[in-house]
Amino acid sequence: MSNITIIAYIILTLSIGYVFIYPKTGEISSLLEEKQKYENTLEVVNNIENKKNELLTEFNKISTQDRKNIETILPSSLNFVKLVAQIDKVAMGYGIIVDKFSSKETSSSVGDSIATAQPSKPYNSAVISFSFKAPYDKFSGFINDLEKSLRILDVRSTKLETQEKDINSYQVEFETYWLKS
Amino acid sequence: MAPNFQSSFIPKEPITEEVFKKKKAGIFGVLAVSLFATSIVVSVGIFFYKGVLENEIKNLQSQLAESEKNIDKKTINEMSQFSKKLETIKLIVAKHQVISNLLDSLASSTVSSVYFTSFDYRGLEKNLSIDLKGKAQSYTAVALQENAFAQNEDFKSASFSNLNLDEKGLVSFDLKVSVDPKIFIYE
Repeated sequence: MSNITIIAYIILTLSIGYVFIYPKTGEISSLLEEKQKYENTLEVVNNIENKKNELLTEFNKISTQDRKNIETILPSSLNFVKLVAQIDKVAMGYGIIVDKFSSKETSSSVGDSIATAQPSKPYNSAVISFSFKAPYDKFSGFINDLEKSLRILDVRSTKLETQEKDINSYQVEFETYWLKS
Repeated sequence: MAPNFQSSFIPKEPITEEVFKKKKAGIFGVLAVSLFATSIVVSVGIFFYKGVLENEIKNLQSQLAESEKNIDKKTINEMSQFSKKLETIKLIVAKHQVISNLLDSLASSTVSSVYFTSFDYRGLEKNLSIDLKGKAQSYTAVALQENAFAQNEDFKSASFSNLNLDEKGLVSFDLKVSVDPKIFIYE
């Protein structure tokens, strides 16, 4: 075999490598990468199904009453009228007549300015204000009951003014919460 | 007759021997041909392998689409919302604030010769303090009250101001009490 033939073979080999093999290796590696991604995703999807079944078993163990209680603690809306009715019902138990109910939704962000701003709260909240007149012992019992209620009521302000015959006037603000679903 | 006379035209030794003799390829020739052959085999192999990979990817795509279709998104979403709700409840319950502890502490630290006519607590403000107005039977009673508050660990400080003797002989006063935030924690 002459040198020219050898060189021709080498040139042909290099040409085949450059034209067919080299570009295809790039395509093959990206296809392999894509295949790996699909396999991983498929595994994740299959795991989701298994995990879902495990969680569903646990989820179904939660009783209807507990779910109802959780909905009461953190409802999906403020339910202002219902809340007012519930507070009024507790007040009636102490012979208290509540007047001037109002509510003001609070901002979801925390902080006074951009500089002090913190991540927004993961829930919605509103301040419920109401006023009433009652003797101190009735007020104390009423507030105790509200603090222990299933619907979370965080006291935000309390104002008391004494009036005649041991009857005081009160203005109370509670913060309550809900989570939009 | 000459002794070297050749009667035949056929030469005694073949004169074409060198002409038709195959040339050996040599090691470089063999290597070049092998590389060439390998490059062709590899090219064809890659071509088919690419086709196989593309088919496998198509199969995986259809499997994935099928699996996604079978996922019960409604149940997962319901459980996810429930979980989020529980986490939020934990957060809210952990910072649940009450005032009854403060009222009890205030009542237990109030001396019998003093009573309060006004109580104002604003937890929405940064400094947790209460503003009180009260009346005492005497200045000594006010001093006793100051001492009682000083001994109460729930109160960080208590500052009296505007002490006045009214027409009934009672000492009226204003009081600002700085409160330990722990007292508002629900237990």
